[in-house]
Amino acid sequence: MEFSTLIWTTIGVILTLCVYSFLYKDNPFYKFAEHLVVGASAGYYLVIYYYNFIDPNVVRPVFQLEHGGQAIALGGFEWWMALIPGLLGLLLYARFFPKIAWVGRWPLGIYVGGYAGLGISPVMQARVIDQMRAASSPLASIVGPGEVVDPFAAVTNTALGFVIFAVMTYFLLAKRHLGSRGIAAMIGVIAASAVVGYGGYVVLTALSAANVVSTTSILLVVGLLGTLAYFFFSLRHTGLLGGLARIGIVFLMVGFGASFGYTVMSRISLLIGRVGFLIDWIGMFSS
Amino acid sequence: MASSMTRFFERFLKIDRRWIFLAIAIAVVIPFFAPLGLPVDVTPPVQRLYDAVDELEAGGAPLLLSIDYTPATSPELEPMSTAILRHVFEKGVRVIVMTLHPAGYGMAESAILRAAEEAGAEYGEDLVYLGFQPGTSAVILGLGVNITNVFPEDAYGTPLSEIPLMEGIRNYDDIPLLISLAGWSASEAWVYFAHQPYGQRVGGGVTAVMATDLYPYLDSGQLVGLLGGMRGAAEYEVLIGRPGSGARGMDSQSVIHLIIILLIVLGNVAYFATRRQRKLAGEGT
Repeated sequence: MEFSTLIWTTIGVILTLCVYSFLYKDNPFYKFAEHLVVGASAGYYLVIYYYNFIDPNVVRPVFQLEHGGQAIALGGFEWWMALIPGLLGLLLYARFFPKIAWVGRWPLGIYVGGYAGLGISPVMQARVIDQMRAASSPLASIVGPGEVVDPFAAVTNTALGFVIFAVMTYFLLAKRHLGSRGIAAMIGVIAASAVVGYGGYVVLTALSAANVVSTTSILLVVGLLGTLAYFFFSLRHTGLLGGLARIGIVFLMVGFGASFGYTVMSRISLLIGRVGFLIDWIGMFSS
Repeated sequence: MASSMTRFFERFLKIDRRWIFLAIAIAVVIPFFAPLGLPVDVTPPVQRLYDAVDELEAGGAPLLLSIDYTPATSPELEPMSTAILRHVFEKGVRVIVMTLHPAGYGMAESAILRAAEEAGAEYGEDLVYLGFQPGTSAVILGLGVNITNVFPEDAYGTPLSEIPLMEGIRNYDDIPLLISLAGWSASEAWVYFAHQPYGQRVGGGVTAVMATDLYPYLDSGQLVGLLGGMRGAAEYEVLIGRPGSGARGMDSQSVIHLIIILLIVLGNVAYFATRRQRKLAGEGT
């Protein structure tokens, strides 16, 4: 192992501990590490942007400097195409001078307009058209025939399907007819919902097994319609629309729960990465 | 008995959060020294990405790997880049590496140098590093027209026309698969600007926090596969038969999840157990 590697890794260890000292309480060591990260990042980004973009695309073509063996004629089309964006970029800094700050809106307008032109069509296609196409595909298409099902996934899918169908039945049918006053009535409603819901689930599972429909597809479509109903504000959320909207809330909560779980996993992964780094540093001394 | 439980729950709700930090720290460290060896099952999105990479021909059309992550997200994404590069080099698949993020410049370079040295891959023949270009959407769209318009030379200043691997590689038509590893919206940008207009097959590897945003693109076929967070990296490592830092972290991950679930349950039980007490105290004042 090179000595410089040990030195730089040790500096990394010290800075990591400085940052984690914030967990105890705010302190000057944390502040030092925080400011160092911001300053070093700004400097790093400036150098990368300059040498990868500004220098080869603006400075060298405009000032006729040698680059990649290509010479650009002064006043030629490519020369203007390097100069004009460069000048527009400089105009962004006009906002530091109040009297001419309005000039800074020109490059911003060109930038926003250009991005909108580039982005609207593919983003619309990707996020709306193709998603609608996938959602409107035949209900039997998502789970293919002969697909091998993991036993754990089968159990969790069955449990999920049972809960969702029970909740759907509760909101759409049982609550309206049985009422919800009192604990006994509530237990009756839930029990009836579970029975009816499970019956519906069993029927759909049988249809799914016969490749008539896919339970996953049914859940997907119900979730989609429920969520859309929840965000449809032009009618009062009563009756069928109200029931669908409540089902939508259930799906939204399941989605938020999944997002929360993934967020926890993500943050913990960063901690694990740092701890692994610290342990590897200790290992440097034994190797 | 009941009052002692209530007192316990009241104290639990007022616990100094630094004790929780300490418990989490201990739970992370212990599995590093005493691995639990919990199994890592492979999920379909990871299997699909692995299959897509595995189908690439040795010495044939290259994989385009966009390493779009920064040091801040490297614990989740670096294991992915390492595992994918190990997979392609072992199979003899050629790879073009680039980045859309300035901070990804060094991350990509260190990842490819490490993997190439390990596999004995030769620069220019087995891999090329194009470096960084700003302007995400314009870069992705430009690559669909002509790669040399966007990257006239590689990261080290060699014109692409002089690099053997780039011979006959003009645009997405010559690239059977593209994988973006990103801690920001780059993977979605690849779907928008490479898959939609050009029909390019795109795979993704993202931080766990972003995974739920990308799942809709799997069923619709806009993504061929997806690695979500450290878990996704660990699954890919299992598939290539070489457990690395992703798999190493999964024991800690599982233990911490158990602790967090326990804290959530205890917190809620404590809240409801002390609610009556608080109501009575409120009525008394």
